[in-house]
Amino acid sequence: MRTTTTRRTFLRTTAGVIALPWMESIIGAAQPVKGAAPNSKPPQRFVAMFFPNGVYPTAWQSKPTPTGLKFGGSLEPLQAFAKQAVTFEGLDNPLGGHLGQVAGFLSGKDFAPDKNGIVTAATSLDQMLAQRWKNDTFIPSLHLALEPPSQGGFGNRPKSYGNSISWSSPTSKIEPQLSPRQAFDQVFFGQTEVGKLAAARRRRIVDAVWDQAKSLRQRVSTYDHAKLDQYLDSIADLEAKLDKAIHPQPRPWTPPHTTEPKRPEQAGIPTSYHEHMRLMMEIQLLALQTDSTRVATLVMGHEISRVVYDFVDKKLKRNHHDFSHHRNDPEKIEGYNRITRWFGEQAAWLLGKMQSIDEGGSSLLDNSIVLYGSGMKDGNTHEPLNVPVALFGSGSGRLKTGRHIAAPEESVLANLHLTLLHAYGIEADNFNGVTSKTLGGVLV
Amino acid sequence: MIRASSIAFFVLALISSAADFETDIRPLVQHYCLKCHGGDEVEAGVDFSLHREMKDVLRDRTMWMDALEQIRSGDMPPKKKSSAQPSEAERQQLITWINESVVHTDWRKYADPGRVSLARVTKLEFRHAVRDVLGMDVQAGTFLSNDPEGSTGFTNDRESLSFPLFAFDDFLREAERAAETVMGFAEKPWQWGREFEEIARAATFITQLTDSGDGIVLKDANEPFSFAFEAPHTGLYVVTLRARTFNGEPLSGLGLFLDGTPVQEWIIEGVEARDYRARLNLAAGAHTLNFGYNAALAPIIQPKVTPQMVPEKFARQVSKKSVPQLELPTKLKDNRDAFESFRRLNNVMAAYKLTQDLAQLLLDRGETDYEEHELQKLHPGLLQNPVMNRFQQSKVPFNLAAGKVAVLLDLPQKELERRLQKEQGFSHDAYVRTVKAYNEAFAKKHPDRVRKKAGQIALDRIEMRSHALAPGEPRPDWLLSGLNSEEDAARVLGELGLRAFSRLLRPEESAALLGIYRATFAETQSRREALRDTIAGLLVSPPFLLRYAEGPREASFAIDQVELARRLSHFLWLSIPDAELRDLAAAGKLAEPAVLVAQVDRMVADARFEEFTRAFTTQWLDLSNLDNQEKLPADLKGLMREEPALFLRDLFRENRDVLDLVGARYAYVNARLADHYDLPPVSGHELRRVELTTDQRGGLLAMGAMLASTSTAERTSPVNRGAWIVELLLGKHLPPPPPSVPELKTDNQARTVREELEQHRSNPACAGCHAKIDPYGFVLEHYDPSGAWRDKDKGKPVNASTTLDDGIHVDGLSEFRRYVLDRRADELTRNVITRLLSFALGRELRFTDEATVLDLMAQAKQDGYQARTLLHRLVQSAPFKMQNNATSN
Repeated sequence: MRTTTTRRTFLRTTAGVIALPWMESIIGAAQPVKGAAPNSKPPQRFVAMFFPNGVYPTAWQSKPTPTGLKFGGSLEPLQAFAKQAVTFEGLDNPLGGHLGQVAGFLSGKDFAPDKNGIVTAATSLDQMLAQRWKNDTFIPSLHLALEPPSQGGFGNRPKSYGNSISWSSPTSKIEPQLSPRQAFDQVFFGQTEVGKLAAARRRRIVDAVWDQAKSLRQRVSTYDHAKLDQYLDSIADLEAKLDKAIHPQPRPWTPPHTTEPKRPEQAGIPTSYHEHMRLMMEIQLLALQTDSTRVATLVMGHEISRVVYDFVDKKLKRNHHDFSHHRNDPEKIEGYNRITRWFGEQAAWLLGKMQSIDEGGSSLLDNSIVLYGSGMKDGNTHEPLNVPVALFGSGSGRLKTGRHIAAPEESVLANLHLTLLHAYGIEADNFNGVTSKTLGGVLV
Repeated sequence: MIRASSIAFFVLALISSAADFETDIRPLVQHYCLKCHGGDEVEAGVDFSLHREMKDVLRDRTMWMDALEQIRSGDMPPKKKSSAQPSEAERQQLITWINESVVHTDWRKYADPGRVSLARVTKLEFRHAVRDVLGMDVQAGTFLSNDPEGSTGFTNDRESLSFPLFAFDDFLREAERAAETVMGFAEKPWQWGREFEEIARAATFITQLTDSGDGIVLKDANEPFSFAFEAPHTGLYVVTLRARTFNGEPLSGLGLFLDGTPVQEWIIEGVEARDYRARLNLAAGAHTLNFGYNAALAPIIQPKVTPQMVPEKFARQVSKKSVPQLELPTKLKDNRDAFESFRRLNNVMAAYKLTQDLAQLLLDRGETDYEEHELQKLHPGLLQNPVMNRFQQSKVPFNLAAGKVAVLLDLPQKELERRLQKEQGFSHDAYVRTVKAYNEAFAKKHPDRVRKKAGQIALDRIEMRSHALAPGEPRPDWLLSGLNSEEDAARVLGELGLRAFSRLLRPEESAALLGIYRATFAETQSRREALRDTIAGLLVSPPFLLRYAEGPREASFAIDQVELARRLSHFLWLSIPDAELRDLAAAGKLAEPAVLVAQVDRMVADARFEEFTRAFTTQWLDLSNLDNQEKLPADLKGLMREEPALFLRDLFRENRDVLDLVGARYAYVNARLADHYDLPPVSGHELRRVELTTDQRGGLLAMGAMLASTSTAERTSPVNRGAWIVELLLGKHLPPPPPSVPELKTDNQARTVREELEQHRSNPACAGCHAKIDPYGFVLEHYDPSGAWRDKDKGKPVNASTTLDDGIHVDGLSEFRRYVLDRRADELTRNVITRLLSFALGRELRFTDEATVLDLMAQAKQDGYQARTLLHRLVQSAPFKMQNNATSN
C-alpha cells in the first residue's frame, strides 16, 4: 500500500461543510511516556490570554488579606489560583485607542502604517521568547483567536488589527488561527509520519536548487557575492529546518506523560462560541503539554467584539462592545460584568487543566507564566490607565506569587514585560526602547 | 553694490581655472565649512570631511552643486559671529572651481556603464513572471511581504531588495502553492451555493435579515458577516455574490476578506440584485470568508460645496456666559485623573452648548446656510483640549466625556445628564434635537448641498466554483494530460524552463530539476505530484528568483542578449521576456538597433506595459500618500491614481512630448472626475482623453492625485506641494527639514494657510529654505485639498501669485506652466531621464552615468522631446546594454 504524502490528501480525508456536533474533547487519556528521564527539569512556558474591551473599574479586584489574595468581580472565578497569582495595579497601556491597545499589548508600542503599506510596531514579548526556544520545540509558538476580524478602519488603521497581540518583528503581525482544525494541524501535522514525508519532499526541492546555486559564485561579479550569500544562507536555513523536521533530534526534555491528540472532526469554525473557546484552549494545552511549543497566545474576542453572549445568559442581548459602552447604566454594567466574568471562568478552566498536568513533581501551571488581561480599563471611555492584568503560575519558581503589586507612578505594561523577560532568564536592559525599569517585588 | 561686483569681476578674471581640489580647494573647505559639515557635526546631512580626492567630490556632486548655490547666494558660510567668512577672492575661487570642475566638467572622462547588482525579483515581478511561465495568473506571491522603497524612490531598487533568512522558505511556499494551483485543474470541478439567510441561521453572530427574509443586511463595518467553508482542492476559485443596496440608496461599498486578509473590494450598485465576482486562489481545506460593509468605497458624488464661514456677528451673539461648568467635588480634589476628566467634560459641554445656541439662533433667523460642522468651527479649541490624562489628546464626543465623569461620581450617566440639565441647563438630548432640526431646515433650504450617504447592503446568495480561469487564459492541458513517462515530464519541463530562464535549460539544471521529478514519482507513483514538485523547484531556482548578469567577474562587458531581453522585459513589463524577445535573443538579433527599437514599440503597445506605467507613476510621483486622504471617497482616489498612469501610458504609446507632463492641453477624465474638475460633462465610467479649453487643468500639476496627496485632510500644504515640484518634478535635492520644526498652526479661523506660512517665513531661521519651496506651492493655491478649483479660501480671494526663488514673478498655474516650459524644461527633462534610467537599472545614478544622462538630454531635445523615442535611446545607452563587474557600484 502506498503512503499518501501531501498535506492535500491528508486534509481530504474529512471534508464537508455541513455542521456536525463537535467532539467533547480532543484530549485523550494520559499515558506515561517510555524512556522519559525521571529527574529532568521541565521547561518554562509562556501563555497570554487576552480579552477585549476592558472591565468595569470595580470589576477587577485583588485585595491582599492575611490568608492571601481575595479576588472580586471578574477575577473571582480565579480565586482558586490566588496563591499562584501576581496581580497588579497602576500599569498603564497608553497606546492609541482600541487598536493600539491590542496591537501593543505585548510589545508596548503602537503600530503605524507607512505609505508603502509597511506597518511598523515592535516585536512582542511572546515572540522574543519564541525566538529563544525555537530550536527546542516543534513550532516556535501558537497563536489562536476566536472571532473573525472587523473590516474598515479608523483612518488608515485597519480594524482587523484588533485581533492580534503578536508581532514576530516590528513589521510582521502574526495573523492568529481561527479554525481549530487548522490550529491542530499546525501543531501536529509535521509530527506525523505524513508530515515528515512532506518535509522530505521539500528537502529534495531545496537540494535541486542548491545544486544550481552553488556554481553561481563563479559567474557573477565579486561584488555580488555578499547578496548571493544572503540567498544561499536562506536556502541553508530552510535546509536545516527541514532536516530537523525529518529527523527530529531527541528533545532536550520529554514530558513524563502524554496523551493521544485527536484531530477535530470538522473544518471551519464551530457555531458555538463556548465550544470554540474550549477547543482552542484544549489545543493550547495539548501543544504545551507535549512540548510542541512553549509559547501560546489566545485572543478571546476581537477588540471591537460583536459576540452576543446570550449563551451565557439569555438576558445578554447586546454584543460585547455595546455592553462595554455602558454609560454607567446599572443594567448595562451588569451585562458587561457578566461577560468579563465569563472570560475569568474560561481562564480558570485552562489554569485548572494546567494544574492537573503533572510534569514530574511540578505541574504545567507551576512551570508556566499565564498572562491574563485586557488592553484597556473601562471600555466605556477606552481608559488606558491601570489596565487589568494578572499573572498565574510561577515560571518554575521564578515569580513570587500570591502577591499584589502596586506599580510606581507612570508604569506601563512594558515594565511588566521587561520583568518577565528577566523571569525567563533574558537579562535585557530595556524593553523595545519603551522602558529600562523592571517592576520590583515580582521576581524571586 | 557696484563696488562689490566689480571686485568680483576683477578677481574672477585673475583666477586660473586650473585650481586643484586637493591643493587649492580642500584647504578652503576645511577652514570654512568643516566646523558644521564634517566629522562629529554634520548639519543638513552635508559632510565634506569624507571628500579627500576628486573622485569623492564627483560621487557626491549634487552636494557640491547645492553648495555652489549656497555660496553664491551668500547663505553659506552663515553670517554668524562664530563662523569665519572667506574673503571675496576665496569665495570666487570656490564658485569658479565648482562651476568648472564639478558642474561643467567633461563627464565623458568619467563615463562607466556601472554595475547592475545581483538581486531577487520583487513581489510584483514574481507574480507576473509566474503568470508568464504557467500561462495563468495564480496570484503567486500574495503572502510575501511588501518590498520597501529604495533610495531611487522605487521598490525595484536592487540595493534595498534584501534576502533575509526566512525569504527562501517564503518563496518556496509561494512556488509550491503556484504549482499546486495549476494541478488543481486536474481535479474534479466543484460547485457550491447557498442563500445567505440559510448560512446566517447556523452562524454564531446575530445577523439582521431583510424584511422579506430572502437575504441578510450589512450596515456596519464592525459587523461583517463571516462563514467558513472547505475548498476541496487547491486551485483557482471564483466567488459569485448576489447583492444589492438595501435602504434605497443607489450605491454602497463592500469588502471581502479571506482568512482575515482583504482580497477584494466592490462598489454595490442599485436596489436590484446583481452578481459580483472575485477570483481567489485557495489551498485545500478550511477558509473563512468575511463580507463587510465599507461606506468609504462607495462613489457617492458629493455636492461641490464651497466652505461657508459663519459670520463673526452671529458667533458673538452666542453668549459664552451661559456655558455650563460642572464643579469637581471636594472628595475628588486631589485626583488628577478626575480633574482632567471634569475639565474635559466641561470643554465638551461648552462646545456643544455654543453649537446648539448658534444653531437655534440661525434657525430663528431663518439663516440655515451653513453645514453642521461649520457651526462647530466657532470654537475649535474646546473640542481639542488635552483630555483624560497625560496620554490622549483627541476629539471626544459627549458620551465618552460624560461616561467617565459618571463613573467617577458613581452615577448612571442618565442620572448625571439629568443633573447637568437641572443644575447647568445643559441637555445633550436638547442639543441633538436642535441640531437635527437645524439640519432638516438646512436640507430644505439647500437641497443641492446635502451630503449623500452610502446605502446598506443586502446579500442574497453566494456561489463558488473551482477551475476559474481569467478571460483569455487557456486551460493548462498541455501540462496535465499526456504525462505518461519521464520523457513527457522532461518535455514539459523544457518548455517551462525556457520560459522561466529565457533560454534553454543547461544540462545540469535539467538534471537537478528532473531529479526532483524522479524522486517524488518513486515515492508517490503520481506523475502530477512529481511535476508539481518539479515546477516548484523551477520557480525558486536562481535564474528565476534572482536577477544578475553573467559574465567575467571583474571586467566590463556587453551583457548577453538573454540578459538584454530580461532587462527590457523587467523594465517595461515588470516580468520575464516573452517568446518573441527570447527568439530574437537566441538568434543574436535583439541588440541590433532597429530590432531594439521595434521591440520597444511592440512592448509599449502591449497590455503588460500598463504594469510599468502604474508602478513607475505611483512610485515616482509618491502617490501612495493618497491613501491617507480620509476625506476623499475611495472611488475618487482610485480615479486619481489611474489618471496619471494613463497619462504616462499614452505619453509613451503615442510618442507625445515629455514636456506635456507640465504643459498638456488635454486631460483624462470620466463623468465623475470631469465633474470634480469643473470640466464640461462627459458620460460613463471609463477615463478617456478630452481636449481642454480651460487652462485650469492639464499636466501633472493640475491632477487630483498630486494636489490631494500633498495636502492634509483639512487644508492645502504649499510646503508639501512646493517640495513636490522642486524635488519630484524638477529633480532638485532639498536638504531635510531641521529637527524640531513646530507644526504649522492652522486652527486660526481668519488666516489662510498662505498667510500662516508668510508668518512662519518672517522668522529668518525658516526663511532660507522656505523661500526655495513655498512659492512653488503658492502657485497651486487655487486647488483645494481635494484638487477641486476654488476662488476663495476662508472667505478671501485666493492669492496664487508669488515670486519664485530665481526672482521670476508668476501668478497661478497657467503662468507657472509657461515659466517651467520656458525656463526649466532642461531640469524637467533631466529629471524624467534620471527617474526612467534608475527604474530601468534598479539603481541610483552616479557621476559615471552623467555622460549618459547628458547625451540622452541632448538627444531628447533633438527628437522634439518624444517620449517613446527617449525609451529607444535609453535602452541603447551604455549602462543599459553593458555591465562593469569590476566596480563596486
